[in-house]
Amino acid sequence: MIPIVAASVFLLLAAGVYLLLQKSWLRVVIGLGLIAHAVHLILLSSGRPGGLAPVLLAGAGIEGVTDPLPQAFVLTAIVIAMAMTIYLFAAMAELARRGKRVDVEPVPDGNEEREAEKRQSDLEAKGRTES
Amino acid sequence: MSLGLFFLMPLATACLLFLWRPAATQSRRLSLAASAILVVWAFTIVARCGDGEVLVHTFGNWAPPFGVVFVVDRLGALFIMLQTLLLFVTLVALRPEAHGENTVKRAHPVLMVATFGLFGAFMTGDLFNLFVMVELVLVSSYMLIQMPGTKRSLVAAVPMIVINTVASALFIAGLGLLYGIGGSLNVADLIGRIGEAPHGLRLAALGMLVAAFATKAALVPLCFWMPATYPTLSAPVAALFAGIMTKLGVYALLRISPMLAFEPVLFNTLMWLGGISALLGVLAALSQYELRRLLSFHSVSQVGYLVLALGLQTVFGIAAAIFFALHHSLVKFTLYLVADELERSNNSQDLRQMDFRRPGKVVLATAFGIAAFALAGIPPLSGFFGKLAVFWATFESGEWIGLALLVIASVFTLASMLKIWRFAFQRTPGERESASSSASPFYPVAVIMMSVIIVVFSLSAGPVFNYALAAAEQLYLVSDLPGGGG
Repeated sequence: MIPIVAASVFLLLAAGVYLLLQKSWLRVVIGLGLIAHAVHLILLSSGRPGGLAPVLLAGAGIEGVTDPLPQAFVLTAIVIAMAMTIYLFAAMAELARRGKRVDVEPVPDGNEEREAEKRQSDLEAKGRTES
Repeated sequence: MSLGLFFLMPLATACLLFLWRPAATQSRRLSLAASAILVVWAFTIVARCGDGEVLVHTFGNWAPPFGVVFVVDRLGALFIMLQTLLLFVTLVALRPEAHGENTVKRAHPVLMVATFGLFGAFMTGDLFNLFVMVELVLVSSYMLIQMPGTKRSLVAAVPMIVINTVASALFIAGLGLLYGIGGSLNVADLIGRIGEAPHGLRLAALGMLVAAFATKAALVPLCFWMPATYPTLSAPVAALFAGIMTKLGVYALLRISPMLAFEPVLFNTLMWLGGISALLGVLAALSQYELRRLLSFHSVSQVGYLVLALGLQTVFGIAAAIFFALHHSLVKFTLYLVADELERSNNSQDLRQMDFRRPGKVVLATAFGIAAFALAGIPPLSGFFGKLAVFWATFESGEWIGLALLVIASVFTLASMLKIWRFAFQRTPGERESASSSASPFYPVAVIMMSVIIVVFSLSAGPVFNYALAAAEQLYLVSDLPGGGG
């Protein structure tokens, strides 16, 4: 079981890091999701996966039973990762409303932004006078 | 029981605000009242923990180390008190008439959720809950950053989100390995269990945790999300972030430091990262002209000081780190509040465009002077005692290079404060055409409150340092904590 988990973690991480380094924000978000799933597998594998189901039967011991606690951890972590991904998609949609492409770009500093806003309002004023 | 109520109170306030959606003034009144109660309550918690008592709350009465357990010792109580205090002053500083009706109204419930997350992080006794609470704080901080909805605010959050999400992934991976070798995530329980664990796995697990926390604390190679983000936040909220958010990473490092004792190489790494952060952070700060960006690079430098002290691996060093964390939170918070007033009156964050002529000048200059001198470490202000403790701890451990880095960084700290002073306060009238005739009114209450708090804190440096020393000793007495020694 462990070699399969290790291989999956490797593949997910490699794909996730590749996507993380792309320019488009959509790819970055998907990359973050893949990385999250890779580490969830690591957390899950800490409970000796592949054993018996963690159900306590009368007469049976706990020998060879998978530890259920990491499964509870992973459930929580998956929900958090999902919420985070949805939040990022929402932020991306908000950005997409303001332009055609949603790329990772340098953070403008305050003055540049004010100038851009001024240009924009000048353009609008010009448009109004022309029409 | 009362600990559980204390923990849930910010969440209850946030729910009330979300559901009721009052106007900004009412929302402000309600949150101020709630946070005032929290401040008083937090002081009683500190008073109880100061005597060495450890407050415990077990959820569902599961005996530790099973189940979810909340533990408040001296260290946790101190950070909880700091958070309630900063939250209260932030709410005082965040005014509808100065920062816009909508900003204020929307910020209140999210600030309360962030407080809830921070309380949880400072109280929890196990690492998985720490992860959950840290995520809660992070999501609320993303919301606060992107709240204005301008393109700049949306874009500015990207580096923070990406870097912190990767750090969280490292955190989970570290937790997975740690659970694999220790079979528990209760901090006190784990310390007893990982002693015999295989060296390589333990180093990998703890190394990932340290990397994750160093990112949240913004140490040098991992710090660049912070200066990119803080300038776009609403100023009092940025002040709260600067005061407490980086301290969350530092708190987590302090919490796991008894575990790091098994792998001394991580302590050495932290020490070097701290020293390099202290110097590079202040050099980066010196080259900035945007006020809040300058201050956030400063935070990188100051966090470097306390991580270096933490990395010395002595009880005195950890006490120095705790004291310095407290001092830096209060002082940096005040500087951000002063920056807020400066920005609003000049309508710019750029130091070169600042021109200081308006009512309230003397009050603001005094507050800035107190905070800046405290940061630079001029006696008798708190920074002097903080730096003295850190230098002394470094000197005792014989880390000469670290000491040299800190002393050089200290000189540049003073220089960068003088830079702000020269540009923002000392320009003679008429040097620049003034655009500040429409200057917004000056709201001095928050700034004056913080100046008084800094002075009181400086005067009571002795007792506070004794408390920090006791907290550092208690940090290593894990057998007293629930789940420890079992």
